[in-house]
Amino acid sequence: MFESKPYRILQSMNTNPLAEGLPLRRRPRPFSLIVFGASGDLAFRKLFPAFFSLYKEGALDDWNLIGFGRRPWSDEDFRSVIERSVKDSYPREQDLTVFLSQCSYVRGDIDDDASYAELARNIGQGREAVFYLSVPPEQYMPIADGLSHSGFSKDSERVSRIVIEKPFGRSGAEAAELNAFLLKRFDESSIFRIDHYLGKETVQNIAVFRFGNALFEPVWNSRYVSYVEITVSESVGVEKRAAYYEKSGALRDMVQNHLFQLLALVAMEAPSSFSADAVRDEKLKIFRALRPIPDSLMPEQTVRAQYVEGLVEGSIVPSYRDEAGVDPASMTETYAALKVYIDSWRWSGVPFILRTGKRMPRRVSEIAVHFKEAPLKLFPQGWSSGNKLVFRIQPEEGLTLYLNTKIPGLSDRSRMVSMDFLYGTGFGSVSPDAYERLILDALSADGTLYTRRDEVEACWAFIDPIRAAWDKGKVPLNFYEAGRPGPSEAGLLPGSFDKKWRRL
Amino acid sequence: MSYPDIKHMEQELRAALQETAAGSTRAMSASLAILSEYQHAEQADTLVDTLMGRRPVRVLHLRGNAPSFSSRAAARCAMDRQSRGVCFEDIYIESTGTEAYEGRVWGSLLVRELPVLLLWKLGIEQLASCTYDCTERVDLILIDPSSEGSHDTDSVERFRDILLEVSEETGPFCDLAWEKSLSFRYALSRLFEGDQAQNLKELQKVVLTGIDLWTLHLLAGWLRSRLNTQELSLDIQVQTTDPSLMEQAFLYFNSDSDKASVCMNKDGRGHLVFRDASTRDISLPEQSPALILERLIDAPLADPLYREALKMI
Repeated sequence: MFESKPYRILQSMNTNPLAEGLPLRRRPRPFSLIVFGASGDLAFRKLFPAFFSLYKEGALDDWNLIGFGRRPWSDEDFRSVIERSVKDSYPREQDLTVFLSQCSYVRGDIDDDASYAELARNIGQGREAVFYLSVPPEQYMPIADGLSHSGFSKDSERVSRIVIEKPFGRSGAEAAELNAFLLKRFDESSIFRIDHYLGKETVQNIAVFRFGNALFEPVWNSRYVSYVEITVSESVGVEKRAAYYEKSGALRDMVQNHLFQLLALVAMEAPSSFSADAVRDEKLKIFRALRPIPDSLMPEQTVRAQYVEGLVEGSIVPSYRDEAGVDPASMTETYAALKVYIDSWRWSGVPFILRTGKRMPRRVSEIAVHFKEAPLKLFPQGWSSGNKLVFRIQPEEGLTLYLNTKIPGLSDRSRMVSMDFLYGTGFGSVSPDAYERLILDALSADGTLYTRRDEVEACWAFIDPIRAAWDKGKVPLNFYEAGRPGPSEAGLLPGSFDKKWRRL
Repeated sequence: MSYPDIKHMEQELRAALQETAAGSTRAMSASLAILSEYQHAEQADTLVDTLMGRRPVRVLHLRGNAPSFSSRAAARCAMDRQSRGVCFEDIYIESTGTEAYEGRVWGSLLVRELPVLLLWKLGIEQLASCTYDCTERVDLILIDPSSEGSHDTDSVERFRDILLEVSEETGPFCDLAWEKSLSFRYALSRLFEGDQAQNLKELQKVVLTGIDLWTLHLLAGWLRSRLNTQELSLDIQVQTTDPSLMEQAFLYFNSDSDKASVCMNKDGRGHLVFRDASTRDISLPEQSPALILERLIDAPLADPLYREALKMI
């Protein structure tokens, strides 16, 4: 998880003595990457550019890329789309001929067996098949079914993997149903549930920071940590995703997956190794240790809200209910905030406050670990407080440590200053896009950065009662002006321990 | 109404900074937002300009009732003693109405993670209108009641009432008149250091003279709030004087001839006459606008003594 992309020093179990000590690249075996939903926005903006980047890095040996969809495209049409997508992200790229020659398209229907048969012919023999489902969630089951009938299942000798995007169901029951459905057809080790946050450099760096530096582990507990604050805020609105978002809301869309994954990484115990299961086992322990929120405490520990018209980054934006595709009487929350506790020796009594929202003042994703203040204020005259360590996930990936230092001069006044590390300037190389790392891992059958079935279900087990309480109206739907960092009611969460949210 | 394009302004600022700054520059230390009427903007800017070259600050010049809407960004730098650029990032937003004052217009232009100071030049009487923006976006509000024309007792009391009420709602603020009076307060306190402290028990009357009535009343309030603990029954009088004279304080003990005094000199020193008639000239901490702003940028904190002094005006 903490190795530089895409290199790994091969361990001594490599039988080639010439390879020992060489920073050989991790290479997928010969594969076909099949993208369902190849004409979609995700494929265009993220998947194709990420795949091309891997190709340019020389991370791929023997491969082909197949797009699958209903559009009546030819191979050339598909290649033209990929070319536009790549040039959008890498404008300097001139000649993609060789790359594109390995891309082809299969027109078909996910409910049609003949389409899968055609797909199988295009994949050919001797290749691992990696199916990326960049499609609406209601298509996961029909596709999984179609694939398993076409010789791509756990009962087949062919090696195949299936990559699915969130959401993994809209509830614990749906997630369990989906998991059960998939597991009848594929082994758990062949199912890759993507949470693209886990592919981000800073997110991966949390583990390196915590477990690669002896300095911080002794203070990473309730004795020194006052509280932990996790924020994922977006300045955009629902945009073209109203149909999906109306059924989802912020709690399902962001908290159940991204925010909980961030929480797990910052709270987990050190795994015994960085194998996929060892890491995921530790994350699972965190999810299971989350103290359930009883109905009586839902109003105190959870807040939901919806944005109304406001000014965001210089533009007046409409209310959520006035967005295209949104029910004018919608009760879908575009903002969710929780105060949670982890019942473990390490974290007993430490509040974890989480918030996410659309149409907030800025796009910010970060984890702020707030340490307790010094027990004695020896330097009272200053702008200072407890130390903070902030993992900045976006924008400007990096981390910042806040320290109190003396202001130059004759007095003893102090001020909080920051020690910054920015990925953008700290290394000579550019951080890869999250999808690059994740796609390479899926191609290489490394599930460390993907979520496991029991993680998903454990997160839902915590979220479901909140959802139920909200749906019953036990927590009111508040409103906030677009451009503001949420409703004023959210201030009560950190306010319960005399703190405030970090300013956005 | 047009609103400034935030992304474009940030780009403009980066370009301006690159063009202006040669070599390495010091990291920004704070954001300073100035709310003023267009016609009074220059006066407000003159105050902030004293900070140029001392602290790197992003300055938001927010001007209402301007002839037209405009927004632009600029940068200016001065080299410090270590040959590093100390830069101002200037952002100007002008509106024909009062839109430029709205935090939702300028909030995204504040530098995150740095202290935010707001220089309020829209009049003390309007301060109560600054609600959400003053509590949620700003760490310290700077006011300057002394600059709002000449005062009489009624206006002093009105300001006092407004400020006491507002301070409950808006959060911490800092009165520049109070900050400027630091030297005088320091000098007055020196009259009672060491053995001289026992004289406080016999202090009966204080006469404060100076140019600005608001400052004088603040000083009177300060004396009452500090000396109340001494259980003194103190008569404090304030008198305005000729602008050519500096602040003075005359302190009377058991009779008119039993007195001490403090006189501020134009060279920035204080002349103390103790009760026993001995004298001393002392150095006083400089309280230029530049130094005051510098201190507030470094540590944007409200002085709790100020509120105590206000209550006792």
